[in-house]
Amino acid sequence: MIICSTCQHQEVVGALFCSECGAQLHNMGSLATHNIETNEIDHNDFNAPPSMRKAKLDTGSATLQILDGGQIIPLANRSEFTMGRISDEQTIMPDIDLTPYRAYEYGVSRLHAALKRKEDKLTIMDLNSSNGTYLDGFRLKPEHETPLSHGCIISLGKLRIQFLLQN
Amino acid sequence: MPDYYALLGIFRDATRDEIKRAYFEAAQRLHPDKNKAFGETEIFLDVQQAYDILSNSEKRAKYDRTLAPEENIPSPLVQRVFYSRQSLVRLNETQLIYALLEWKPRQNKDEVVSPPLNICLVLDNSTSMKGQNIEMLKASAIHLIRSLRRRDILSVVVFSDRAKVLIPAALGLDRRKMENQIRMMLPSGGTEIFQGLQAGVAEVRRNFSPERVNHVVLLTDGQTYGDEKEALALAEESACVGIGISGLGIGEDWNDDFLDELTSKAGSSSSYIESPQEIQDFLEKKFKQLAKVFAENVELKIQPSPNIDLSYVFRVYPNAVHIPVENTILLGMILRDKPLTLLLEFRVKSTAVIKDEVSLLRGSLEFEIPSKALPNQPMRVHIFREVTEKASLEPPSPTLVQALANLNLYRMQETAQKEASDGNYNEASRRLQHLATHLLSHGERSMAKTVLLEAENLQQQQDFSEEGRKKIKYGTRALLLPAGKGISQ
Repeated sequence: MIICSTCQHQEVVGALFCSECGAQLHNMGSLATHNIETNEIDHNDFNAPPSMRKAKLDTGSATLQILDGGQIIPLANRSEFTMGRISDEQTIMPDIDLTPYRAYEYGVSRLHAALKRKEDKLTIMDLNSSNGTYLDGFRLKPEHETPLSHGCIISLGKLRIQFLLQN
Repeated sequence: MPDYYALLGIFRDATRDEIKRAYFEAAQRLHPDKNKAFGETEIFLDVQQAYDILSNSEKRAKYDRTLAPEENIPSPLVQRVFYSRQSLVRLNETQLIYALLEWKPRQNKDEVVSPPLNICLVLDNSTSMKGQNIEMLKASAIHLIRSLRRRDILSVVVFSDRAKVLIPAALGLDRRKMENQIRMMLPSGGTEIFQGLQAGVAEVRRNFSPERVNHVVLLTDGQTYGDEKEALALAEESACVGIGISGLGIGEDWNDDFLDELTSKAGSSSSYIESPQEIQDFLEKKFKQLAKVFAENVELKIQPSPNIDLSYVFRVYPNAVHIPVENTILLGMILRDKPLTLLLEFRVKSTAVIKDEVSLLRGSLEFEIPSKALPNQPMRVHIFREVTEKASLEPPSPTLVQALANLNLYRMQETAQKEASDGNYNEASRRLQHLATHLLSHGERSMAKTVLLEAENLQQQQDFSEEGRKKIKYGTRALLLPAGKGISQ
């Protein structure tokens, strides 16, 4: 028998963890210090002037973050997506449904805007939405493609979404 | 001359019964009335020939002399074992030893061909799915249809009190029509999983082929009533013919123990998601995983030993789940890029360590490789340890310790759930507090918080909240995956 030094529970020889309190029984020097990788975060990314941080896209590395709720929507590796909200009366479905993020209240149209991947850039285009699409506060001309950059804020009506690149 | 033993998928020392059984199985599968693939008739004739020779002891002996030794034939799989101790100690009491077993393809992952899929999505279409659940499900299913490869078959069954085939299993269907079918799903009625499962398995069977990955993916958000037994029997039957079943539970109202039992009978596991937004992610990962299958219907057959008690089996990867110990352990699939990993706990009785060497496990690993039409020779599995007078000072393998540390957390919540269901709420609550402490030290803050809340719930209401219970179970289970969280990629 071996005895757990934390809770004094008896364990069978060969046990590595106490079945009672879960403490590690065997000291095998495995408590190595783990370094947290910090060099992967590129600090320059945010500080560079907007023109310098034009979106360069690796496959599937872009995400949208809903600013109010904090939820993250990964952008799948496709060349075009539409954003909007699903409604019962119509059969057109946006690729990214924003209904769960209170899209209706915020004034998102059913088909609001489209994201397009072109070579290594991602662009956004307003699809004649009722309440408009804004990029960093400026209203976009409908059916006109505008490039996105890391960290920029897209507003669909009043729903604010931040565009993020993972690396 | 071909290797008749390999052809029938048996060992050289197979008994007459084993030969007979292997022959019937192969003959049934390859019978000219049924087979369609090019060249299978020739194989069928070889199988006939094999049985003709091996069933006759004189012919068999003569044939055996022409064969190269069995050890020289490489298995398509490679095995690796890590132990928690280098040796067992000669003791007068029971001792524990852990082994981590890994199997992976011998070939490089790039050389392995991805088999085409034959998958049926069985979707819960009961009233409770209304709203976000069904909308996310529709969107995700459409997304999947768009990502299918040319040779993949995807059928869709929806079920409530009864099942309906929405998209039949067939090649070359009009994808626009498929998408429209999905869009028109309208939830109503109750949840009867057996109905859906039965229709789903039937769809997969229509195009069943050993060269495909044949699988049913079940999505549900509710309890099924009264048909559990039939569903479990069906899962067992499906596993026998080579159809796997995976399950996803959405929200808090479904029966996780039932879904785990169901899917583990068919070599897979269940997953849990809190919110419908995660449906697409789950389905994408599941399909990616199925497209990476190298071997299917993997089974570990064990010859029981009286002095060794195999007390706990957990599949770490893929599809982490606690597997009930039986003489045949269903392991599901081996992917081409990451080994199938199994963690075993043995209780070695004092009567076993009298000898100088102890066989912890003796048995064989049986499997099917979809990219090869022929059956494979099973792989012999024999793991053993020396017995020494003194304990070895060598530390256990770090890989194994890491896996055990995480498994330990999973088992703590398992024990706590059992204690709670036995009415020992104080013990369960105390155990959860310990678990929370360990989770915090692992940096799992939000899960630790959930665990503490449940510890409180147990104290005050003498029960878990259903949501918290599932979060803890699937959360600690996800810790075991190599990537950390979520279902395996």
